[in-house]
Amino acid sequence: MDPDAVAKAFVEHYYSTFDTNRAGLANLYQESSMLTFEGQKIQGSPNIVAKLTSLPFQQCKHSITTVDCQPSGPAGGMLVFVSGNLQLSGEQHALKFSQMFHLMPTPQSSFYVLNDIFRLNYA
Amino acid sequence: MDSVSSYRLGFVLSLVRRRQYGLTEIVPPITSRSRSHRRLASRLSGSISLYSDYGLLIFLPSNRNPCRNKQKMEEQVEMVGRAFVEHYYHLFDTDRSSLASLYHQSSMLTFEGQKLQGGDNICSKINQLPFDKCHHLISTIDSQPSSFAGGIVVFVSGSLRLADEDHPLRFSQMFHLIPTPQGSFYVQNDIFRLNYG
Repeated sequence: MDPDAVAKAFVEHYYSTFDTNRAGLANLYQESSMLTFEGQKIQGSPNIVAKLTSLPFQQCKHSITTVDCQPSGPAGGMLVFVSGNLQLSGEQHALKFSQMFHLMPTPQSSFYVLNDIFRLNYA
Repeated sequence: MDSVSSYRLGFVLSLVRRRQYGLTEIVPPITSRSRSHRRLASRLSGSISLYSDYGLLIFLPSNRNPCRNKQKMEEQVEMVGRAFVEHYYHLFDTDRSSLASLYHQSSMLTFEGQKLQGGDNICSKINQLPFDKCHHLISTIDSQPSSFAGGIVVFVSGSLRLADEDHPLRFSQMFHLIPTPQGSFYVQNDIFRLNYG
């Protein structure tokens, strides 16, 4: 399958899950997964999901502006670099963010997130 | 950067990678060789100090045993990320053509959506960017091990000031660094995006 199409499909799946059912992100991470969220480091799916579900807002909507991807090496991994806007309910102005994912293939022909780094882009 | 200086920096980076010392702290590059800095250096017993183009880098060994625990590994990954980022943007801002040493034939760059492969093509693109002088100012550096026998992903955000332009551009960039047999790192993946708005 075309890597760009895979990256785009993953990004759409990730952010729509984030925006509608944050706890459902659990099956995209594994024990070895690492998240750095605004400088805070978290490892392992349960800890990562705990962090994401405890973020201080109920509803949010991600709109994606750019998606870039590259294969990361012989193991079939893929690096995905995203930028976009994050609108929190009740807030007037959307936040800008950048995020990178390092996806690794699973035996079931899917992908999980091994590395995840999120940063807000301040003006 | 001349070959002696890049050897020194490669040596510095390889010290960080090799776990001979339990590295607890890296003192940021000191560019002035003032008396107070020399006093600091002499107080650090058992330290390794090395002059590079970026001043004095000091490594402090915490003990002689190879470090094994996770926290030390995280610190080392962070140190490598920071050292690489400083080196990369310093070269970019002062001697863009010498970035060639950081890319291999297999390297990939996506620059504002444009895909390039191979050190030669990447360096042509970087050298042809439509400005002579620029200065990168780095706001954040995040690093994580990428699971390929010592590979590291580095995520950078900052601003880019071009000569004669009033307003700096904001950008984000990610690198995937792979260790070389000589104890340094090269850039396997590089993605650059300006942040508008």
